[in-house]
Amino acid sequence: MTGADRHPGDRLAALADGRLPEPERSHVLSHLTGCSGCRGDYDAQVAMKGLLRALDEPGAPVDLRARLRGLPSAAPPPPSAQRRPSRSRRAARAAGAGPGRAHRSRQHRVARAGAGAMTFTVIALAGAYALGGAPAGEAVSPPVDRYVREHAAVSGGLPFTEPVLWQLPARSDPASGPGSSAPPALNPVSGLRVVPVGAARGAP
Amino acid sequence: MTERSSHGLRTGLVVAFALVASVGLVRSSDAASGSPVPGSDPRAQALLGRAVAAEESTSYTAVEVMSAGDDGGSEIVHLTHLRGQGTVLVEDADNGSPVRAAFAGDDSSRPNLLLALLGRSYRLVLGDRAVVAGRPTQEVRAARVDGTVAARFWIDSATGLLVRRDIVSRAGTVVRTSELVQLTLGAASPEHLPAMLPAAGGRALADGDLDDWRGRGWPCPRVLAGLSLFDARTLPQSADSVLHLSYSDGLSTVSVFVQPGRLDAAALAATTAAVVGGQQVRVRPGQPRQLIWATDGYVVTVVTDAPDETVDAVVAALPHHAMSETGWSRVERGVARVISWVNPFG
Repeated sequence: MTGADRHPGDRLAALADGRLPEPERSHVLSHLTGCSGCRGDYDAQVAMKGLLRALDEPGAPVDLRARLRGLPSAAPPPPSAQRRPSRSRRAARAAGAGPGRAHRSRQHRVARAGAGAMTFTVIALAGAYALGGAPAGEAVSPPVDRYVREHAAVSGGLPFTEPVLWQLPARSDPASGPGSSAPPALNPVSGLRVVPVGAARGAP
Repeated sequence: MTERSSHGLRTGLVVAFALVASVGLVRSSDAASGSPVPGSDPRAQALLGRAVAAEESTSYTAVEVMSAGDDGGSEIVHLTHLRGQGTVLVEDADNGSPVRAAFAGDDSSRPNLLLALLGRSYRLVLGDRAVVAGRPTQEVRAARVDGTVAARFWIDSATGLLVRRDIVSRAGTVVRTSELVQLTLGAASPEHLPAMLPAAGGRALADGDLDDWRGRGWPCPRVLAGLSLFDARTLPQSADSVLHLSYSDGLSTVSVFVQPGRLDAAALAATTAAVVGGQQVRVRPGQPRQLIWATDGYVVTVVTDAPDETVDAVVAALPHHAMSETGWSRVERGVARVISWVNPFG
């Protein structure tokens, strides 16, 4: 039994961690190409590793961050500032009981009315902005499978990038009855011609 | 029929497929120009150049193991490469019926273009000598401007073939790895060919054409999150054109498809909602990654093999709101709409 034939056992974890040295690494990778059970275990370990890595970097949810950004910037004063009003603030509070109180009340009403008008304007502008989106245009459903093939055509075959595989179209198989779909259209090469899947199956 | 003539015919068949599949790419002069990142080792650049040349001069078969640490999946692909003609890739499947495959025709200009982009985007230095897949290799590292390693390549000392590639995140984690195992040198015929689909169509766009598209409000940046535009074309698509923009830094490629219209709800059936790059998008499962979203008047689809952090940056850099109009013009249109609703004579 060669190194590639043996089930790797604990060495899968070392491979997933990137700690498995050569030539064991090559043996284990070769084993994975022919053993779906070990490959499943390896995928699970890599997935678990990815999850743990994600836990290492906790981050606030995007909507929470957006809400926090929207909060008023005025933070509550530090406890020391809250505890003891300053002399000037105490003087101002004392002045509030005097004859200038009616004047300040008028100022407050004006300020409230101004704030209300400002709020209304903002809401109206926001509403107009929301309603003023560009004309919707024709509803389109992007042909993503085709886009993947176009992507492969332009970027495939490059030595330093990953090969791009595309989904093979399912080929309807008359032998399986109407409405059923046979295995995808992968054509065995036989001498002069490409043999359609259905024909290859039917051949003796 | 002798085995020799049979092999010749199969090779001819692959050539025919290559001709069908090849597309006339127009390179962006921007992408091709530029000088290497300072500090690059010319020997490292030369080794990668040798890897490109090896693909053009060596035929081989191999099994490629690709592992993506960011989504936890591994893929096994049977690969047959015929020098000067192309590569047939067929996904390994437990049930004997692969659902994915590819044929990549050889294009002598693209690998060199991408190699130039790699050298322009990363500092290339020599690493250690190591044994990979049982073969002596020389490591080449691609480092970011901040000094962190972005990728490692292992070049076979005997043939010059690239036998292993690791993509490394800024945090130092290997997020993708692909490695050739069971490498067998020499001419071989592929046992299968994927059904050929219509060749990439459309019209390649020159830089001047792209300026016109930009002027009409279409998003076509020359640089996208640090990746350079190296190909632009239109695809024939019903009444309106679809713009296909291809970006790369030599390590990853990103295709951006832009089409006018609004996203049909039916298109969302096979997708899930996700936040990528701080933006709400719809994601289709599988590799390469496929992300869809709508902006005002356009539907954007991104197809890419890039690692997560690059995808985040790409999505964040593309428009997600109004692209050409000002906020005030939109408010005016909204007011006009409201008036038209309440105006009994309108």
